[in-house]
Amino acid sequence: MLGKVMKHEWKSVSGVGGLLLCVLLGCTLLGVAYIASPLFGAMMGWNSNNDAGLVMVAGMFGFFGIMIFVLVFSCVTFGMMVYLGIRFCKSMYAEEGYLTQTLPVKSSTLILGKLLVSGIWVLILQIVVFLTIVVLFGTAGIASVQHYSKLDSFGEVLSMISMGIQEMQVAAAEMFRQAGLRVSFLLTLMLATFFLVPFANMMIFFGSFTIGQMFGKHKIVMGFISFFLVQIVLNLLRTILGSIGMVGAVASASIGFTYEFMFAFTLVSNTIFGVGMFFLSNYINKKKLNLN
Amino acid sequence: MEDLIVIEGLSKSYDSRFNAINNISIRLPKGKIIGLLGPNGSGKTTLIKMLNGLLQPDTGTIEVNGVPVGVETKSMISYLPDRTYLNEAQKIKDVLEMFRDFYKDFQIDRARMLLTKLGIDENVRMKTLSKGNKEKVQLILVMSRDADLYVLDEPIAGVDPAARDYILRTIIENHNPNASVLISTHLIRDVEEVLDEVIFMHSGQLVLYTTAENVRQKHNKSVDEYFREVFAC
Repeated sequence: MLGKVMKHEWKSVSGVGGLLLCVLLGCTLLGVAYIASPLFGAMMGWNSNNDAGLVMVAGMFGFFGIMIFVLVFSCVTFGMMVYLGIRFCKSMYAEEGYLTQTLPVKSSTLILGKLLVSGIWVLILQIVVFLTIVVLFGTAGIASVQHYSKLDSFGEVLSMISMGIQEMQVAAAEMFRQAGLRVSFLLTLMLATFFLVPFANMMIFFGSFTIGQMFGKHKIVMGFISFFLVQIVLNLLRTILGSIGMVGAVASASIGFTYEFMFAFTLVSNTIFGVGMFFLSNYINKKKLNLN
Repeated sequence: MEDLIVIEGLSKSYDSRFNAINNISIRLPKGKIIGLLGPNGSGKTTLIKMLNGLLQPDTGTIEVNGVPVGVETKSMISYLPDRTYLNEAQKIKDVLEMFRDFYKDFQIDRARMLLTKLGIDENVRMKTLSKGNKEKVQLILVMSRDADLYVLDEPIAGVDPAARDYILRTIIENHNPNASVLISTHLIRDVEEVLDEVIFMHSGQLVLYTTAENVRQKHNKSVDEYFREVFAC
């Protein structure tokens, strides 16, 4: 049944997800086109023959472009999370809930199916945002290396960038070693955080809407209010527990351990809260469902 | 006769001053069309929601085919709520696929045939349909299941007389003959002729449970006339 729940959930949310992916693709293409155009060179002051007006226009384009990109990148993931939260509330506790909640499916399977699909979508968007940033910075980097090195061959430019990255890796490894950071452990923590936290956050969001539905009226509004209240409680717990751990980490006089603790704590606390919200939501659906 | 639904000591209140359902016990048989009749606010919809697991009772139990209300009973009951419950953005063909995936007893060919009879294209989205057609699509979905129990909450409320005829005809012609049909309504005159049994509810309590024929013989009145007498304001 989990596969069927996921199949139909995917169908119902993929329209908005696909639209947001198109927005990201459009932004990437616009950004690359800007960097490839003479405007980018003008903004960077690479051509002394450009008049002041063109440099100013190019600068404005660049400034507002970056502002818009930052806004779009932030809104895409956050907007998708809000959409998925509202969609969850509507399909489980509003009119559509009369169908969803009468399907011969366990409530835990319903919640898990919706959570997996939502988490996957948030993850996809996060990865695409990351790739977009890599592409934009990569394109700008290639253009800069091409300009300053005066190299004509694209292969030579890439080889120069590759050498630069290798040098940076060596320098970073030395810096991490001096700070006492275990690079592979930290990378594992970061990757686990990157992949798990979207699911945990979505579950906290879903759990808040599940608490909100118990109020009977204005379920979506109550869901958001519950979310903010839950966030306050969770942040309070995070601050208390995190402070205790941080004191220990700082006392160890190791910057590496402090960073490792921060990532590990974020990962573990989010996972625990997410799992807790899953069981709470399942309990409410089984014992306190209120489709009134 | 074997019982399909067994309700024992069922109560539900939304606040401390008012009991929506007040200590109801009843056993309903298989193979009957039963009218759940009562004025607005009598507790019909609350009872139906508890039967479908959408509300939890404060006290008491409900069993369908000897099984307490839960995942298993949801596969036995085909439920038509008193509102539109389909995602407006979905195409009808996606809804058909959804019903086929989740309900083993869903007869997709029957649903397609009924849609074709109405001239409704399954490639259109729900939001493009009129209110009346949305209700008909829902009814078709519900009646295309070979369920043990059909629970229809106000299926003919707010529709024109021609649509009422269509709805009642669809119910009579398509329900599983071994199943029971529980129809909640206050428009008794329109459904009276199809009812085998009637339940009268008032203020969350059971006022009467008997056969429709019994009402006619004992009181020399139609069910509708007797209902008006019992619930006269």
